[in-house]
This record gives sequence, C-alpha cells and structure tokens, in this order.
Amino acid sequence: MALLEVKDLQVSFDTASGRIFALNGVSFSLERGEVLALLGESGSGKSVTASAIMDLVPNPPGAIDRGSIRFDGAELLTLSGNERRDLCGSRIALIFQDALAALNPVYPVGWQIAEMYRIHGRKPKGGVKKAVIDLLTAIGIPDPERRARQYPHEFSGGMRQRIMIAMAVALEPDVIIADEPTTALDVTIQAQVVDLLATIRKRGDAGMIFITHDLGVVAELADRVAVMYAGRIVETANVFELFEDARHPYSLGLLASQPRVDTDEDELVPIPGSAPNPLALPSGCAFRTRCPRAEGLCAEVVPPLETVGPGRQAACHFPVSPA
Amino acid sequence: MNQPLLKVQNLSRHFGSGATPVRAVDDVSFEIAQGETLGLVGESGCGKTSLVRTLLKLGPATSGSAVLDGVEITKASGRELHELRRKMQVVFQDPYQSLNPRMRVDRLISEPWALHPGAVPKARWREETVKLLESVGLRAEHADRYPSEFSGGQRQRLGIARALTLDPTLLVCDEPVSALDVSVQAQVVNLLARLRRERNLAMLFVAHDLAVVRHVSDRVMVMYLGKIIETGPKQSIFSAPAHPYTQALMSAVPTPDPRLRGHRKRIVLEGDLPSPANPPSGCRFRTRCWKATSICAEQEPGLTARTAAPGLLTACHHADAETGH
Amino acid sequence: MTDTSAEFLPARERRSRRILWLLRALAGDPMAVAATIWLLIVVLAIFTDSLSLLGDNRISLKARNLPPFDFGQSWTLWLGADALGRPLLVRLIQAASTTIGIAVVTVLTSLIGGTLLGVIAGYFGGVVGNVIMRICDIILGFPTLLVALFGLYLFGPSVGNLVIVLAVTRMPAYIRVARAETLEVRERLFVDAARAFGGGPTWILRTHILPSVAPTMLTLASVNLAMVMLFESGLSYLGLGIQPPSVSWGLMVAQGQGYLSSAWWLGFFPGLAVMLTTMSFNLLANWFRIVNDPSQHWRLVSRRR
Repeated sequence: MALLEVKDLQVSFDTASGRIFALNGVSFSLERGEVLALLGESGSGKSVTASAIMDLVPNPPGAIDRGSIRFDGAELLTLSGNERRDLCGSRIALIFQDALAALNPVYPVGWQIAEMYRIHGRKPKGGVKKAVIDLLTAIGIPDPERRARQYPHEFSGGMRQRIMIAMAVALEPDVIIADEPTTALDVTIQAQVVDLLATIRKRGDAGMIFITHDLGVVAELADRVAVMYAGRIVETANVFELFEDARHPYSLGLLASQPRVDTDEDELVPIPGSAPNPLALPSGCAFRTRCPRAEGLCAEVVPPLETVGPGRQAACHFPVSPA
Repeated sequence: MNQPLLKVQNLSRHFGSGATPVRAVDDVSFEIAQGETLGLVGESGCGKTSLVRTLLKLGPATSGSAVLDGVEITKASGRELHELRRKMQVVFQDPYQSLNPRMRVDRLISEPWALHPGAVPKARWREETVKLLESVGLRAEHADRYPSEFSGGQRQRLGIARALTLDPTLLVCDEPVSALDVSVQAQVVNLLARLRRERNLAMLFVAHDLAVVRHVSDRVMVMYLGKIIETGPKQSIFSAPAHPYTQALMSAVPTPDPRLRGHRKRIVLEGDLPSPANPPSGCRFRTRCWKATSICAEQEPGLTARTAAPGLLTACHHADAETGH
Repeated sequence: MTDTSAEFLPARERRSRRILWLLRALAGDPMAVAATIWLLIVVLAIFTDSLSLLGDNRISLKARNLPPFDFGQSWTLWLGADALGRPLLVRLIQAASTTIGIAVVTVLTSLIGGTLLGVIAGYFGGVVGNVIMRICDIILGFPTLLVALFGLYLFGPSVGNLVIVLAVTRMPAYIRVARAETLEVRERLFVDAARAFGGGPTWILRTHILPSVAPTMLTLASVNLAMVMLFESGLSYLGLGIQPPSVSWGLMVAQGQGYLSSAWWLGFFPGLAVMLTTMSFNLLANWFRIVNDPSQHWRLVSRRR
C-alpha cells in the first residue's frame, strides 16, 4: 500500500469570470522513502495539489469537487476538521516557498519551532527546549542557543528556509511536502538547502513531495517525477527515464528549452505560445495548441494517463517513441 | 576590439554617508564593444541592480566614470542626457511592473517617440508600432490592448519592443527572463539573440541564472559584494574559472542531468553574504572562502590575468593554487 | 511565433467607440445606473430652475405647512408647503442648484489644488514637500468647522467666502492622500522605465503619476461632496452660510428643524435629497474607479453574465 495515494482529484475555484478547474483529475502515489517531484510551470496546479493534501484550499472560492486522498490507508477528505488538523503538521508537513511570509514576525524562531510540539501536545525527550536546539543544530544553524531567541527578520533568506524545514521535520512526519522551497533563493544558498533536504530524506523513511519548476533541482533530488500541465499530470517516470527518454511532447519541450551551464548549445528550442487561459482551456488535450505532434484527435479526446512502460505513464495520443 | 562602445572606469555607487556607507558598487571597471554581449552574474545583494541603475542614470554615481560612445554618462545632464537616453535602453525584470497598466500598448510603444520629437514623425507612429510589435513576435491588433490582457512572456516582448523604439546601440537587460516560465523564457532568450544579430546591439545582460548567461553572452563578469571578482570570455569563465567564488557558483547550479548526481564535485559555500555596509577587510570573499589565508585579510586582491585561460582576469591571491576542497 | 492563448478579453474598442463601451460598462452595475438616474433628475432640476421654467413660488397663507401627498393640489404642492406656504417641491428644485453648485465648486477647488500640491510634495519631497505638509498639519490641527466658522466670521458670510473656506479646510485630506499615492507610484518600475526613455518630471507627473493617482482622488472627492454638502448646511444653520432668501438643502433642513414635530416634511425631503445625492456620488465614484482601472474591467463585464 502506498503511503499517500491521490486519485482523480479535481479542485475548482470560483472567480468572477467563471469557474476555473485548477486540478482536473490528478492521480499519483507516494511510497515511503521516496522523493516525488511535481514538475510544472506557473498555473499547472502543482501548488494546488499541495494545498489540497494539506487542507489549505480556501473554501469558498475553492472546492474539492471529487477524488480521494488516502494517507496510510485512511481517506483524508472524509476526516473531520480536528482529525485532519491533527495529521497536518505531525504526520504530513509542508515547507512553504516564502519562509518570510510563513514565519510570524512577532515571535522568536525558537518559540515558533516549539509551537509545533505544543500544538500537537508532544513532549520530546529532554524537553522542548533541548529538542529545538537539537533541531537547529541538525539543520546547520551555528550558535543555536542564541539564534533560537532571535526573530525571523534577523535571519537571511537561506537561514529562514532552514528554519521552515526544521519546523516541518520537528515531529518526524511521514510525508514532507516541499512547495518550491528553493525558488526564492540564490544558487549558492539553494545548493545548501537542496543538500539539507537530501540529508533529511536519508535520515528517516519519510516520503517527500517536491514541488518545483526547476529541472536542475529535480535532477539533483528526485527519484520519480510527475510532470503537470494545465491541472493534469501528463507524464510520470523515474527521474532517469524522464531526462533521457521523455514520452510526452511537453516534457520534451521543457527539457529542450532549458539552457545548460555545463555546455554550449546553438539555439534553445522553446515551446511556442504561452500557458492556456484556465477559463478557456483548449478542448481535448490542453497542450495541443502548443504541441508539434498535435493532430485532429487531440482536439476531440482528452488523452488519459496510460502506462507506456514499466512504472511509467504518459497522457498523450501520439507519445514520442522510445529512444 | 577597437574603440569600446561603453567604457566604465572605477565606477562606485555608495548609499548613505558617514563612516560606513553601503558600498553597493565599489570601484568597478569594464568595457563593452559594439555588438557584444557582456553577461553580469552575481547573487542578490551583490550590487548588480545598483550598477545598472547608475549606468542608466536612474541614480547618481558616487565616483568614477562611464563613457558611452564618447559621452560621459555620470556627468551628462539636460540636452546631453536626453540624447544619451536614445542610445541606451533597458529591459526590466518584471514585465508586470514595468508597463503602466493604465496605458494602452500603442501609447506605451509611442511614449519614447513623444519624448524625443524628431525620432519618428507622429504620422508614422502607428505604422512603426505595428512594425515593432511584429518584430518581437506580436501582432498589429495587440496595439489596442492593455498590458493586463497579456501573458508574462508577451509582456516581456512588449518591454523589449519599447526598449527598441529609439533604436539604441546599447541594451541593458536587467534579469529579463527570471520572472518567466522555462518554456517561455527560451522564447525571449531567442528573441533577444535574434534582435541582437539583426540590429548589431551591444548588450549588458544581467542575470542570476548562469545557464541563461552562458547561453547569451560573449564575455562574463562575476560580481560579489560590489566588486567584480572575475571577468573573461565565456569559454574561460565557464570551463576554467579561477576565482573560488566563481567555482562555487558554477558548481552550485543544479544540472538537469540525474546521471551527474553525486558524481559532480559540488562546492557548497558556508554562511551568507556579509553586509555590504561592513564588508570584510582585504578580499571580500575571504569569510566564505576555503582557500583564505592571512594575506586575504590584509590585502585586497586586484584583477590580474591568468595564464591558464586566455583573457581571464581574476581578483584572488590564490587563484593559481591547486583547487583543494 | 505568435501567442493566441492569452486573448482573455475581447479587443478594446478604439476611442470612437469608447462611449458605447462606457454605457455597456455602466449597464453592468445596477447601483451605478440608479445613481445616474437620480443625478440626472437633479441635473434636470437645476436646468429647469436656471431657465425659470418653474411656476408658482409665491407666499400663500392658505397653504401654510400643507402636508405632502395631497394630489388634489397643483403638482408643485405634492410634497407639501413650508411655514410661509411656499411649495416645497419648487423650493427643493431651487435649492438644488445652490447646494450642488457650492459643493461641486468647493470640491473641484480642493481636488485640483490638493492633488497638485500633494503630487508635488510626494514626487519632489525636500523643502517644498516639507513646507506643504507642515501647512497641512496646521490646518488639520484645528477642527474643520471651527476654522470655517472663524474664516466666515472674519471675511463675512457670502457664497464666495463659503467656497474658499470650505475648499481650504478640506484640502489637507487631498494633499495627504495624493502624496501617499505618489510616493507609492513613484517607486513603480514603469516610472523608472519612463525616466530611462528620457521623461522629465513634468512628463512623468502628467502621463504616469496623475492618471494613476486620479481614480483614488476622484473617489475621495465624491465622498467629500457629501461632507461638503453637510458642512454647508451646518454653516447655513448657524447663519454663516447661505443667507435667506437664497436657499440650499442644508438651510432648508435647518429651517425645518423647528417644525419636526408638527411638519416633518420640511426637514425630511431636503434631508432625503442630500442623502440620495451623496449616495449617488459615492456609487458612481466606485464605478468610475473600476472603469479607470483596466485590470478591473472584468468586474463590469462578468457581472452581466
């Protein structure tokens, strides 16, 4: 049984100009000890997926229309508010993109990490204070006793992101969801945070969902990748297969449009056009308007996510043939 | 390289006064030749935005000089400055912020012409606007819309079209693609490359994304805490960087190739950027550098040529020493 | 390479069709329609009054404190009559031009003056900005009504003085808001872009800052229209505003106050007129703000669905 299993999830938002389907039947599963990357560009629905799992979809205007999220055998969507809150933070934890916004500016960071224990009524061995100091040491914050008493604004961006990570792993959750944790950081700091996340995943057997648009970070950290486009998963594959032998034209397009720092390329091959308007998604396959392989069928039938090889799926009528 | 188009010498920009001003740009010198693209990389807080603003005369220089096509930028004013603006244009980072949301595209594009009477006669504004829109991959009917009706990539195309209205010789691109999605980013990078070829533009391309900089630049400068610490032709900088900071920067960029995971030598820097108000003595990088010795704290290294790579200038006392980490 | 997917909205009409578009946008907001209708009635009233199309306005002892809704009488008496037997409806129409006239002139004066001073203080700052702001602080340091009373007492009550005194006392609010908005807009990237194109202060103020500040200022002005109308009535009540035989809604409320228990309509109808008018200005101001902000246009279009 998978640790976390999302099936046919549909999330919509009411806006003044109509209903937007942020997720259109998203299914994936996460095993213990695995890092699954949700890769997609802005508006693809990757962050909404995280919100849905964490029960953070604002309602109204948002609503989970259908689907299921099973965690450790239990259906999350039918749990009561209290039961759900108990799980979130203790067994499923979220690392936010914007650590400065996610930390409360009026409390010291040590207090905020300790809050995790207090909310869930946990009494760690040796007391809360020791646990906080140990955590800060573990995530590489020098002089933790003094730093614990400081406020978020006294930390640099990278340090704040470390503190977010400390809060997320404080209660040793089973699932860690990292929502673009490195996007706002400079490369050298980003490398530190990626390393820290890699260390954390080696520590226990937690499963990690890593949400990002950065192919490089995916290659560094992920075991398996789910590529999202316009509220759907268009391809899932293990990380090696995706980078060497992508089947969906969108995945291929993403790889081709990414310049590399270690080689010179003549010209980038961008994907033409821009992401579709969520209010007026193209009929059939949402990617067809930008797709070089699109044919008549693509406008009529939404391609289902089908198995295209051992452990990998793609949602395309005309997938790229194996390399 | 004969006469450079832009020649910057010992340019500084300090904020605040008193004993410890923030030295955002400190004694920076470089040149850009006609038709050349110079990449400027550095992390946030390194002073690249201040440098751009000083060059564009959006803020005053504290000292030093910057000469564009024979005209001293730092001292230009009035008529001279107004003429200078025609030769030097800018593409800003955030396409959502840099276009006035209340102005329609045709007005946005023709604003520079209204400011420079004589550039294009008013009767031809519409015609020229359409030409420009088409040259950046937009269509004539887009002229009647407002910026809010465009996607991020399209807005950046508008930003580029505006920057080209006065037919500049130098285009300063301040993180032009960092707000865009990867697939769209490639479109804009290609567009800039094409325009540069067609118009023989010189570009100062500022970005924190090293891969993009490698793709577009001829030469590259690396900035750290207001100083240029290494500069040279793209090949030298990317294949044989000599400064420890450049090496760390290069190695920190995640490569989109999972096979390299764990096999690549990664230099993970310790700590954070020191405050530019109170930079370390001597070499500014020494507090995070694994090669630092006592000389680094005492003496500030100057940019000196490396024998290993042609054209490479590095500001480091230990640049020739074996990279031990 | 062309993008087709981002065409979220229909192409905006060219200038010649702008009025048509405005009408459609107005239809998208029922409250604004109601407000427009009321304001049209008021304008019509001012128009008929200025052309002297009104008939009977004589003192008539027979009609003293005649109650309203007596439809057997001539139409001028349908809203009753005052203590001197003058038909209330005719008086209301005559008062409309005074009230609206004073309010509009006052608000326009403080709007234009305040916006200019505020934008200058915000954009240039420095000594000029400081001087402007300190003067504001001084005016704001005293209660508005007290300043107005003092001014009118000093210069004598007249329509001209009333307008000046009210305009000056209300101006600091405009200056402060305009300055705060300017400080924010000044830092926006598109202002930098204009500077990089060679735009001087005048150009930037005219093309970028003023249009960005204007909607807020107009909203503020519409709220102030209501306030000025109330101030004017207060001052008229105290005998320092409009002098009889001229008449304004405020003065009518004041005059009707003494009869509230015996002839409620004397104060009620002018009060209602003040309320409806100020409310209409507020509603229209809100609509106006949306129309002037292209990024909010969808509100008007979508509401019709």
